[in-house]
Amino acid sequence: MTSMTAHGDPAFTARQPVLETRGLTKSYGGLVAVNNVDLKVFDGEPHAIIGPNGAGKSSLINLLTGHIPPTAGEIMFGGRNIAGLPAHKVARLGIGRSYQRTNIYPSLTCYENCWLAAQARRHHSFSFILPARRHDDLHDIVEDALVRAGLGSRIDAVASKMSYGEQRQLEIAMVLATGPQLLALDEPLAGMGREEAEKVIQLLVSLGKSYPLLLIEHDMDAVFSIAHTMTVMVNGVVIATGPVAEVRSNPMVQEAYLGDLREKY
Amino acid sequence: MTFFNNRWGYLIGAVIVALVAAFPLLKGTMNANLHEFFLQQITYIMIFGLLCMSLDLLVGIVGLVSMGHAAFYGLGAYLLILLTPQYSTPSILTTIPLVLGGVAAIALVIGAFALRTSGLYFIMVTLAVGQMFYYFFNDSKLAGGSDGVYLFAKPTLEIGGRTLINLESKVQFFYVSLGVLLVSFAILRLMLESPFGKVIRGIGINEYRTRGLGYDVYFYKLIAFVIAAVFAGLAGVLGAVQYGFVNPSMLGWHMSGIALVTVILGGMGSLIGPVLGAAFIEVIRYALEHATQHWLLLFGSLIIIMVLAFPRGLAGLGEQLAPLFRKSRAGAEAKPLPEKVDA
Repeated sequence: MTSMTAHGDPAFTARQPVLETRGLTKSYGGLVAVNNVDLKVFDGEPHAIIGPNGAGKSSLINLLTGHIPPTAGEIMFGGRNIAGLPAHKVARLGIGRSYQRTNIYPSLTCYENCWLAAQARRHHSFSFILPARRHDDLHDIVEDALVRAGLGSRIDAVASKMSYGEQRQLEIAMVLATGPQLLALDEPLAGMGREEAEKVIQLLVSLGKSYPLLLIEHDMDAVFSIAHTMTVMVNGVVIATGPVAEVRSNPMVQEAYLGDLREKY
Repeated sequence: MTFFNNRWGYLIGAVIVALVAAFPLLKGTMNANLHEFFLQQITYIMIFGLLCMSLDLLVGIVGLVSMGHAAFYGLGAYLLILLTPQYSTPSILTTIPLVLGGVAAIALVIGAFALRTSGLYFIMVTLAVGQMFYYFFNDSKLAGGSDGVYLFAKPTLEIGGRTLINLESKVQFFYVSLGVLLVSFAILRLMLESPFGKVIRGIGINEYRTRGLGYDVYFYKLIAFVIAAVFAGLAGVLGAVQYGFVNPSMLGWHMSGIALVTVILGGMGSLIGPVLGAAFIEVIRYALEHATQHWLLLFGSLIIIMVLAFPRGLAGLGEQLAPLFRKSRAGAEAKPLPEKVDA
């Protein structure tokens, strides 16, 4: 599998969504966490999903990555409906997902963390004899992912001993190492200090240029500097979607979300 | 992965193996009965150690706490007897692979069901399965019921009419057990360095993320479960051969429980730790049993103290104690190592 960054002729690829949902719905008994969501993610147009707590953002990303099955609706990716596929199959199809709560292998080094991610590209890992390190086709992928995520100098550091910000970078490096065709990042800045966040925002801006990017984020400044397109969710429903500047000035959004936030902070 | 990961570990390991391997040579130096008794005890430690090592693959590496692992130990023993035609001598080349194949097939079926569960439920399911096998062999007439069954003749390895290995000899059996233990350890260590090994270790550390990366963790766990069962079955074959007798207690939850305690005591995830644990437990058991009638009370207390004091087990002992030595040597200058500076 080659890492596809889909930089074809813009005129040709521009309006073909990499990922599209139609009527995506998830309900838990009477509670509809995600309600009839239509979403389109295009290459070259980093897409942010924002919304207050409980808006259904996390449920949405869990649906997109197969961590929970949808109640109804379609998820079109790579020319097929992937709704209902288990998480490991979705990952294999190329949706690389990072997690809101740091979700790494704490006792392993950065290199080993990314190695496991890169090895997942293989058809299978039922290989029992030859030491993994001899499978050196993965070595370059691992190093490349770490360098891109800004951890080129921390290759042999044990993950649990790194700073929180670095662990978040590792989270992203692991996603890159799987050779994704779409990045789905769940609050990559969650819990970071200002300085750390700046670093990761730079990273996300550059990743947005080479990968189709779907981002769930609370941090407004981050969203405005990274995203091209923005979708606002409230109570499981999409209330606005479009270019960032347009959505930002949408009175309904101002009312429902941005105004709310301004008061909060 | 603490004990054998440095030069000292390898050195200590090599010395222990050499000392153990030299034991049969001491025959003339002590009372013949005593020598034979110790020979038998050491052989048993190696067999029990192999069982604990195989359980460690599940508990310490994959993170699957099984309370029914002895079922495969007992199955290895029973299958050896059941698959050997009556009044004939089992062959190491044909019967034993057949036995291990049988254990693998049974483990595949059990694992396929048990691994649908996780955590506490997995413990309960494996416990239940272990007890099912226990009562099956205890109550059925197939293999002597609760009385157990004898192995008519011990396995031999014959090539071209010449007997190369005859396990009737206690010394030969001792060396075969040592060889099996060492080779099993080498195979498992090699496997843990392979891509498959990396994945199952990853599952043990963070199963959720491993699935998220694109691994079908169910199948990896299933294969690991079968591999662990086969090595437990191998230990069971040796166990049956040692005493020439098999009874249902080999499969029971008591056996599974002791193996689990031994793994924890020896150091989870190190593979070699559980073997050290097996030696430790057998020696302590022997010493306490002869000292007092209420030895189980002391035995239990000792295990609790050991687990509290050395959470990483015997295998992690060196690593845990190393800073003490370093500090005393470096004296007042001792300070934490500087964080690795970016190269």
